[in-house]
Amino acid sequence: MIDWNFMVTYSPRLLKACEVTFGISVTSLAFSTVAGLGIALLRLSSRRILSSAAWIYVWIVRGTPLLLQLFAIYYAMPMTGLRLDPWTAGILTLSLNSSAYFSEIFRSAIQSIPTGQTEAAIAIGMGPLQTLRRIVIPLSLRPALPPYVGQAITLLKNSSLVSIIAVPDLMQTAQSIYSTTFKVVEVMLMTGILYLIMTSLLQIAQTSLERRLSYYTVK
Amino acid sequence: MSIVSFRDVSKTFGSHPVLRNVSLDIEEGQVVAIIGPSGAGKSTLLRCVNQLERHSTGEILIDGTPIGGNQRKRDLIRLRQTVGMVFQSFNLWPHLSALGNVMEGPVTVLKTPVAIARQQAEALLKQVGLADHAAKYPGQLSGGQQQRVAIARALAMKPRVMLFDEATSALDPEMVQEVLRVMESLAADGMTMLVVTHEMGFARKVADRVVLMANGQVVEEDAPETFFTNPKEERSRAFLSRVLSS
Repeated sequence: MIDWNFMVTYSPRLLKACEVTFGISVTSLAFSTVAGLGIALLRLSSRRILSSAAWIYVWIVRGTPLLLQLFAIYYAMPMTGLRLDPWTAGILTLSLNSSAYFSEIFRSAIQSIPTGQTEAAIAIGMGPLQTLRRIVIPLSLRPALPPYVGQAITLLKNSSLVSIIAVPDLMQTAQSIYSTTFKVVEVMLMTGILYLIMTSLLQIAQTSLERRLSYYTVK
Repeated sequence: MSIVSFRDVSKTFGSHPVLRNVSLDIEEGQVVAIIGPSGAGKSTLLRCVNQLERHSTGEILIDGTPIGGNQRKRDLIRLRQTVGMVFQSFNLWPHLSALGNVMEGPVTVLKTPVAIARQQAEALLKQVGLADHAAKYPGQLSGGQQQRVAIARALAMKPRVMLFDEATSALDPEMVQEVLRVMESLAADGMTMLVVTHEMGFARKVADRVVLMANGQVVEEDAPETFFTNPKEERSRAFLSRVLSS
């Protein structure tokens, strides 16, 4: 039988841990969004060296396990003299990892904009940065949104891996509770529900943003 | 003084020549219609004026200043601002309202204060007959209305010359006239215009000069009356007999 009283007793601790998970995820999301856009622009650059460098970055990051990347940054970096605390290592790894995925999402969204839109901007006399800021980015938002939120959800779930390097996130807290109480089912049930609530928030944000960006389809 | 001069301009796409030694002068206040069969290089010629396409050899001068080549990016951008362009497919920005589309250039590029840019944009939309549609998004406008917004958008930059790249070709027949009327009144106001068009009626009525292009070359250049009634070149006669009989 499920011990409901147990769940009530431990829920404040798990809720507290949600703050850590959410904090790490949102911080990584912010960093990786900016980095992802930068990498996408490098990928689209007409300079071969820049686009190749971006391609190689995406190739390596997407082609190796996140867990391995986390170990590389947390355990192998100290060999180079740079020792990161678990929080920094966790956020850095998640940011680097997601930026590769985001860059591909942004690249395809940017490429989906009809050339006429950017030509109109160039013809009106906008420079490259003005065209990017005023035309390309706003027009990419809509096509990028669904895969972007999908990747943000993955990022939030992947953040559970930082529990391995002792960041007191939701997953790590759950593990430490059931390792002393042995109530694995109760703890994991609660933990699963809490993850679901957090990812649902992202999904709700997607729906409302999609509605706000629906100027295209107005006819 | 010519506002736009082409001097021996050539352009190749790979090994395929699209413009061959084109020389042409457009004087201030003139309306020049460029006609000819598709693939003649008309649009490419127009797109070279503001360097949406780079010409391979020769020189293009805007108001006496060469454009393109190894020009500094900043100078190229500044020179482009003096040239307005209207596209076949309108290319309005779908995330901005009609008013937003017209204000965008002045506000972002010229740094005109928003209140002033808004007033000017409203006046321009009124000029093209769309005062009541300022708040609508491109997706809510008909093709003819979108193209008129696009004309207002280009005019908002106060260009020295306007380029029209088959501005009515993508429109339903009943919307062609409303766009041509706006172009006609611009011409009457003395705007310098370079118009690539299939509308022979417009070329004949509004243009000061007609240029026939074929195979990347200027075949004939004449006043419209002469051109349409008594063309000099065999190639022009062949083209005219084909388009006028259809």
